[in-house]
Amino acid sequence: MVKYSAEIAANRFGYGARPGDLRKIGSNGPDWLSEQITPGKAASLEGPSLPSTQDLFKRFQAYRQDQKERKAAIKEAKEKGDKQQTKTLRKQMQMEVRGPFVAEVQARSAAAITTDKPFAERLTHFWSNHFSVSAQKLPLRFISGAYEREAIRPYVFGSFYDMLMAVMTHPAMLLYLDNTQSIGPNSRAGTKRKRGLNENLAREALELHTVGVNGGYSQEDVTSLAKALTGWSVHGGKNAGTKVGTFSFRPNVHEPGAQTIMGKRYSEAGMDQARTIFRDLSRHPSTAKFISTKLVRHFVSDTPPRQLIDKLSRKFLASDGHLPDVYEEMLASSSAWSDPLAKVKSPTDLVLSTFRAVGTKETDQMRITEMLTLLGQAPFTAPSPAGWPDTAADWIGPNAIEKRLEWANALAGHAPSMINPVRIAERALGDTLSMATKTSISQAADGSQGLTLFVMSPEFQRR
Amino acid sequence: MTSRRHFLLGTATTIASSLTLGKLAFGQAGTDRRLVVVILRGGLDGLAAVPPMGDPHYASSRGTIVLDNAATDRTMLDGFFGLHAKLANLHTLYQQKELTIVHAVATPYRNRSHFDLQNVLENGGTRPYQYQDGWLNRALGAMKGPGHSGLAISQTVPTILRGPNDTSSWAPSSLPDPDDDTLMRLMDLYRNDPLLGGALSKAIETNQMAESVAGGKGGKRVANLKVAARTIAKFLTAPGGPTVAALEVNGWDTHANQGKGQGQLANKLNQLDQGVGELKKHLGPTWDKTVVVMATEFGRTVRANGTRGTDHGTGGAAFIVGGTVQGGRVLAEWPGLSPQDQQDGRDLKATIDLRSVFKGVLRDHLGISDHALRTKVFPESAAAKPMRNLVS
Repeated sequence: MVKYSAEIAANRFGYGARPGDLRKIGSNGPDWLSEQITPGKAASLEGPSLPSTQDLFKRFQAYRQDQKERKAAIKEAKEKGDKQQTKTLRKQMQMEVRGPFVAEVQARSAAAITTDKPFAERLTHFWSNHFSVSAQKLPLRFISGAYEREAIRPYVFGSFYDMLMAVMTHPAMLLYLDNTQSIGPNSRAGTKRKRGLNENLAREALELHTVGVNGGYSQEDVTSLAKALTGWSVHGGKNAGTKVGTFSFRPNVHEPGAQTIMGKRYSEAGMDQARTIFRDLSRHPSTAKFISTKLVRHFVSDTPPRQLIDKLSRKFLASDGHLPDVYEEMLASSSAWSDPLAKVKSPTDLVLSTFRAVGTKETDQMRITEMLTLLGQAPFTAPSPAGWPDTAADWIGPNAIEKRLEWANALAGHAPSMINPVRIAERALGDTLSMATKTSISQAADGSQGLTLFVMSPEFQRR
Repeated sequence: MTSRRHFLLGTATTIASSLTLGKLAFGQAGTDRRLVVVILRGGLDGLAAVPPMGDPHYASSRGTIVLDNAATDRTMLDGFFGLHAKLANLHTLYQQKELTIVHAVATPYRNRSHFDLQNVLENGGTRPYQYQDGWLNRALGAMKGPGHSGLAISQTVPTILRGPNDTSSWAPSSLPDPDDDTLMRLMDLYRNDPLLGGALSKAIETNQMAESVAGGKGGKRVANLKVAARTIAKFLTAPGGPTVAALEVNGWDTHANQGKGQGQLANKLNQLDQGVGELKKHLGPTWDKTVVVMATEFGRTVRANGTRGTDHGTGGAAFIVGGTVQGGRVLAEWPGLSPQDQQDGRDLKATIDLRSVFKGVLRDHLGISDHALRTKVFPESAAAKPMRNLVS
């Protein structure tokens, strides 16, 4: 029997035990996780439905169009000295962008806090981070959440290739890494206009999404893939009609001719050219190794054991990138179950698991965006296309631990006075709760201090 | 607000004995010299910041982003190199001989990945992830005298400052302090947890200093570079303050519409320039003992790409500015911009190893020996000799 089976399943593979979870899981940790793997079915977002990328893209366009008028109105109010009106108009303008964004963050957080399938949520966030986009660019502020719902969630229990294609054809990725602007120099549009290639998406697709930086590609391969990808764009212009905000292949900007990538020649085939390249990249041994390493680093250890990486890679290749098989392989490994506190929690982990532990339901009242921003992990806003980092050294530093303490302290200050932090700790940490921590919490001056000590305890800061 | 200083004075012995995590305050260092390293993350376009106007291939190869307007795009530093017009403070510092630029410079590793090259820039080796710690941390250990420490203005310590020597990170906050009692109990709980206990005791120590020098916790996050520069200045000028500081500035990855005299890159350069100005102003007399090195992981392509931006390249520009700098110079072994002179037919070649720049500064500004630089701070760097006379 696996020791810490429930604790590892709920806290490392999930988003933390809710009251009662550990008892329910018992010694069936691996089975409890396996049941959450539903091959071929989407890891759907639980809760109220949210607008599609297309609708959000239209809102973005409308926002951009009204921007001039809005700014003029603010200027006018300012010149009149009408402070109230200036403030109101400013606020309205911010809310146009903030409204849809916050709705996404709230829905995503609420789902992770209340779900019975926290492994599916964690996997969703893992892939969303692997194919990271950032809401720092304006159109992305509108559509980052929809991107995760449309390009990630349906494929979490599907094939890697299908997810890769959904990502590469999604407006969010095409806009984030500039591919909508890239033009084949010898295409019809390229020969007329003095514009051309932008290799941003092609490089990151190789380096960050598939084979990895040491996966065996050269600068020529990056350029060739950039050429093959020309034309992968988004319907956005005046003539887009009902297709606005959807994927568009534009033959007139596609670079004609064959491309050679990592030694293989791909003949001209319009959109199918890059599609075939992605098909091959998704089956490449370097991709299998790169994805396996990231999965093991996220779910097992900061220093992924070589044997486990190799095991997952073999399964990845043998199953043609069928992700449920890869997850099952990881769950079947004893090294995944050897250390209950192997990983330090990221800020997102910490916030979600705290709310799960205390059993909060009213997530729509919580200022999750502000909390995560304060703790250094603003939602949908990773600092680079590589996404958020995934080791202890990236998340724990003097100021980071202080921010966590300030946050825990402020949160505990709002907790109702009758809470029993020892009971919360026991139900969240099970057998991983140390005697020292239990004693410290039970001897706290009051419930609020006890809750702070629980959240900040060495055990709860890890998963 | 509870005073953390009071807390420390009252209970320092308890904590020191229970945690044994080293000193509780920044010690007095054996030098009054200061070093600030600014990492420009994303790949600064050195050919836009310091355009080689005299290169016969410059104008023709830059296409849509050529800095061709002498009135609005750039000034001239000498007969060959210009300086982007938005770098006005830096231009003044150049004229005052407090700024030296090293051009066509790069790390010793060749690929075009942000992440690999930022790591090489910070770990100080020849390949990505070669060392777990950073060269600026190792430099702390190689300096004469005790009491040297490093500070990062961020939540966590970036790779360049990670390692066994004394470092901390600091950023202002808007939340109230937890009370001293909670802190003490938590310190006790972290007794056997070097990762969390080490971080928290360091945070308390740094906060103590912040309280005495920065007037409390600030109340606002580091909204811009000017605020960050002021914060660094306050720490560096405090008695017993850190000897070295690291600052990260993101946003140099200008793949599309980078602009010319105005635009995306111009705005970033303006912010950087304002930051340097603010740092000088607030360092006061300490400026005369300070060097600021600003470096990036790679330069960008010589030609503008198809979207009026530039893609990842090789050689770029680094800036060395400060009171002890022998300035007013652009140092380069200029490789030329003709197609056959370019790296892989697309980038500015790198003819100077960035480690030579760092080594020159560390030796002549902070007094680290050639031997320590070669063996401890930058192992495998014998071929990258320290640049002479960068600072006096």
